[in-house]
Amino acid sequence: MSRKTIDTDRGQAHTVEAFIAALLLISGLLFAMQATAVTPLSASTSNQHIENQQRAVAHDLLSTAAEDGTLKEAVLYWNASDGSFQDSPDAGYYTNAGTQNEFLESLNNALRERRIAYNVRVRYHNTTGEEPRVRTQRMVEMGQPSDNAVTASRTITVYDTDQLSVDNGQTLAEIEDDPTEAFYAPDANPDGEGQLYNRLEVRITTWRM
Amino acid sequence: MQYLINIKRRLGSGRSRLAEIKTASTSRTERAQLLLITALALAVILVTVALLLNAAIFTENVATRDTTADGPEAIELRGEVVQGISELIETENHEGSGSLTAVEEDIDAMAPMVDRERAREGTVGTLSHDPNDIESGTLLRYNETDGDARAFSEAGSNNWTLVDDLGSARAFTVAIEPNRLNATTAESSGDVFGIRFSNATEDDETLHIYEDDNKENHLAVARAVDGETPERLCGIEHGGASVDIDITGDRLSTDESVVDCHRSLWPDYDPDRIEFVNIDEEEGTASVTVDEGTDWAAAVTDTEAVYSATVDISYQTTDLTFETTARIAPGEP
Repeated sequence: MSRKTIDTDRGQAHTVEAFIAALLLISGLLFAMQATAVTPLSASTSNQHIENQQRAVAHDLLSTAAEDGTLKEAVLYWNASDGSFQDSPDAGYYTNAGTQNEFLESLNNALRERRIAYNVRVRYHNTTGEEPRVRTQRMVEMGQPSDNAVTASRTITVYDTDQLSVDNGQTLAEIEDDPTEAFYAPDANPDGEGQLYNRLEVRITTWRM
Repeated sequence: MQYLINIKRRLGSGRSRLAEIKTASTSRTERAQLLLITALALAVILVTVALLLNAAIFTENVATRDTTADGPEAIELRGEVVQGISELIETENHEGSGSLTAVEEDIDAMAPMVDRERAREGTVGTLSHDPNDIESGTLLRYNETDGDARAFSEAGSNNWTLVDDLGSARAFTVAIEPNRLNATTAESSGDVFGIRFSNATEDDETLHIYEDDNKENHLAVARAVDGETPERLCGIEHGGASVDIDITGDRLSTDESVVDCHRSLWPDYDPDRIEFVNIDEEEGTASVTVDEGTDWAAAVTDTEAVYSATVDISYQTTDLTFETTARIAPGEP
């Protein structure tokens, strides 16, 4: 009688033991898979925080630059005869972090030195009547953003009397009248008596390298 | 026979004791196994609890994320529009004709752009204005025709009044050649060049501008209330170039450096009159935008200007509706 009871007990324990062993094996496997799959680019709670921080940094950079005038200096750092940003490679935009003007330098110091890549694009209103109504001019292009890229933007207004921030820079109105020179954005209010030229939206896309 | 029976009985009892011993040891081994399994089960339960807790924290994080995300964007739109129109008014006044219709036209041209910019982000942003809400004023400038510094004594030997019967004023700046200023200390600056604000009911306030005797190349501003001993407000180091004193913006600047005056340069009350006093050899320029109904000195150049504009800004998302009316008078104290 006693031996019979012992045998029954053991069978049950073995079954539970087998289940737990299976569970352990599977959870071990899952954990290993998860652990190997975690990269700086994979989505996680901490990654969300990194994205928020990057967005805040990019946004603050734009706000500071807009406030002290360096953002306007950067969008007007244009070579009107070549039709490209001043001191940029043949592509017409900067392909690397630069020290060409103060805004690019601040991007360099705040982002690139922390191994954060970025693209900077300027969107402007195309009022010539042709589609698309909003066009984009590249300023800095570092490549294709990753899935976890974030963006921040700031809009500034430029006026007919604003001068290009290059040596002997002409005003935007003068460039508009000169057929040999061109600024990337057209005059949004060409016939009006007012000073409004266009509104430029500077958009930074950042991602971790 | 009896002896044999006794041995058999003893043997029998011995065997049963052996069986007892055997049974006890087996059951103890079984318990160890169960303990092990229980320990493992407990470990699994603890890990599961930790995972559930983590999941709960993550869920809470996701659930509470971005609930107030639209607020800052609405405020940002307002800031962007106000800054854009401020610059527009100042550009129009300083570089253009200063006419109301030009500003109005530009605001109308700006409105669809704001609309389009927000539409790209899936939100609605509008900018509108009532033509009656743009106030005209006058931009007054005291300088040489080419914008260079001019001796303040040209308009009056010792004291002269820049504006009188003043309603509202904004963007009052004075640029001074520091090498023309008298050197003194704050306490004894009561006799040197200054800008006096006064109205019928309040005490006069005078901002005395001087070269600080205690420091080298240092322009300082001190305030004297009702002729009492002046008190130093702020100062800036300069390299001899002209120093801009932004009186309504509480800021001193020269070349690349800027100093914020943490105590307001503009008086706490609304002054009726602004005068330059104790003029000696000082040279510089002055500029102020005043609203209608103000008188000014004959020596200043007056041009038509826009004083302020009032616009309605709205921002709308699925969760938020934000509407505000902003009066834009750049540089108003």
